[in-house]
Amino acid sequence: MVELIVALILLLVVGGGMYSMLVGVQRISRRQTEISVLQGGLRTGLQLVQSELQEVAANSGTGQSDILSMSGSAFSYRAMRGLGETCAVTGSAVKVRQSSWSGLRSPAGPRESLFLFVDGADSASTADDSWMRVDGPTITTSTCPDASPAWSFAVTLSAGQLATIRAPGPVRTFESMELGRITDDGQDWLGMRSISAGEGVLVPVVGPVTANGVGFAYYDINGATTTTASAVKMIVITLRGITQFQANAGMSGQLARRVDSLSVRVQLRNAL
Amino acid sequence: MRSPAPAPRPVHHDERGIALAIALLAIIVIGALITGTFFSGRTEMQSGRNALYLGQATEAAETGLADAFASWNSTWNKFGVGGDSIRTTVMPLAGSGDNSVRYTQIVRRMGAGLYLVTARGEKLDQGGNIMATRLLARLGKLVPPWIDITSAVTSKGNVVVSGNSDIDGQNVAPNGWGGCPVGGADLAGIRTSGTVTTNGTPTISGDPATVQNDATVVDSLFQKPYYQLLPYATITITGSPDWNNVGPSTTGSPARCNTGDVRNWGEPGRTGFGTTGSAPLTPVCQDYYPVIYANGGLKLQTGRGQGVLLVAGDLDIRGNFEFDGVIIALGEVKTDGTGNKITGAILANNTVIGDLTTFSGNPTVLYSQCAVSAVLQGTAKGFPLTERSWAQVNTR
Repeated sequence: MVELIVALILLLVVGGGMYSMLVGVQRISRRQTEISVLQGGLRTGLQLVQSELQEVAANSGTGQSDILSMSGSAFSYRAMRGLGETCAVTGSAVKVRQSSWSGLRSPAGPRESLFLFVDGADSASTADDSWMRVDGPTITTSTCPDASPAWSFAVTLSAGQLATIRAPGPVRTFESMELGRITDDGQDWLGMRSISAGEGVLVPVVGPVTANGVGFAYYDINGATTTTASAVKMIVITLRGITQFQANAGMSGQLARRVDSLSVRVQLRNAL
Repeated sequence: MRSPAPAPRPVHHDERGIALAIALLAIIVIGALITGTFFSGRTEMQSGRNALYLGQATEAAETGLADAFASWNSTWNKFGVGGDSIRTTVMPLAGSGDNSVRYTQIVRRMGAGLYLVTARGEKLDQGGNIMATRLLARLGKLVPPWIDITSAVTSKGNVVVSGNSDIDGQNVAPNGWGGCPVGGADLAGIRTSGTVTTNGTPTISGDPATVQNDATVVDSLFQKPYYQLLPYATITITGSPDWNNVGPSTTGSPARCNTGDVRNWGEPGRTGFGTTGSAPLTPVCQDYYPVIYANGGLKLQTGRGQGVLLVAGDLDIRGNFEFDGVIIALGEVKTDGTGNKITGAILANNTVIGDLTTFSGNPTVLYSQCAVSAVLQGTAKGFPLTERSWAQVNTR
């Protein structure tokens, strides 16, 4: 009888200890997995956003900016999509050599618009150079004068403008985009949409995030916050992510969805 | 009497404990959880490491771009339109024993002096395998320096011309130089804010021969181009040395112009025409136009060169020295001895009160629009476009 009681007590102690250990390990494991997924998602998403915004141009001298609208929770801008060089420029078309093209996709109208480099009156100076914007040109496949493949962008250029656009010279394409918070299936996300492509709603890209978990802040050259689009030199994006499933805070914390935040500072490389 | 041995405990072969089974189960469960946690942590770590590698590759590419424009190679100025030139791969941290990052520059010339410089940044592991790659590009433009030349010799303060000096504002091409435009305007021989005094039998000619007491000859006429050209300097001479035996030199096989030689100031000579100095005619240096900057005074004797010479102090040319291009001295300019020949233009600021521009011996100073424009074009540097110059590009 005594042996049985001792054995039961030992079984209780050992079993209880093992159960406690198992539960603890399982909680930590689940928490770790959830936090990893959350941080990985935020990091990957912010890398995408950073890459998207780095080429945005703003010129405080001329008042021009690729930033179309800006607020604490949403941001629309001209996103650079491609870079190539002209092989022929006429009053009605700009032909871009396909072999010179660098972009994630071939240019397609009206989704993509065009920036043409304009060499100022003093060709030996960079001070009077500019870029001419051509919104939504018709884009067709064509050939360069040497018969190599090209894309032809329909434009209307005056004789004066023709004289300042070089062949071969640089062209860039862009697409108007919007970043912002979107609620989808009861959860908040950082979403993105192509304004140029006519997309009506944001598509979730990063998240889920907490309510008001998307924040944009804009800074000028002195590091002060600014609301002037042409003065923006840096954009800070902060995401407060939330795990998709519940997890304990530690060995014995409350079961809840965990929150973590990540912030990225994007220096606009083409801001003046 | 020995007590009888206790009877052996009967063995029950059907006895089954559950401790082993529980322990094994616990080990399996814990093992699975730990493996899951480990896998999750490892994925997280690799994700973070990949981000770090990408960041390092990006920084390497940025370094490549910055280096391309900061150390613009004047041989790129002569690239044909449309061709790519891949430069040698550089490991920027090799000096500290770190070969884990590298960049490769690709320079492509477009029309009208426009360039696309691409830098491929790569992060390598210890075996040299590429872990991350990033391509960045920058659009740039060739910008030649500009100088307002209105005479063969421009001087703030008085000019003394003696001996058999020959100063001529008539536009001529350097001996044997091809491709010079015909019919460029002749300029004044000497233009000064003071007066021109002659001794001996000098010759001063031009259209007109002299312009004296010219109130428009002010410091900015000298100092603006001087400071504009300083960033282009490719050779720096410190102190106030005697700098003798300047001449072209080569390196490597096949021979290339040795631009690392601070006494190599290019080759102004051409086949069929005599050369000054001891260096043999070196055609591979005929397109080399250095910008030489002396941060103090400079005394030159014997040799030849071309390009732009910037002198912070006084310049003394002491004999048997030939130079094609532009000379700007903030101090005074003086020639002595025989065999000095300058083809291009001289600007002497004479910043110290009492400074004079003095030509003695038998120097020849000839205005040459061709020499001036050739050296300014040759010294042109690429600068990033003011707007939208930076781009992320894809692997081609």
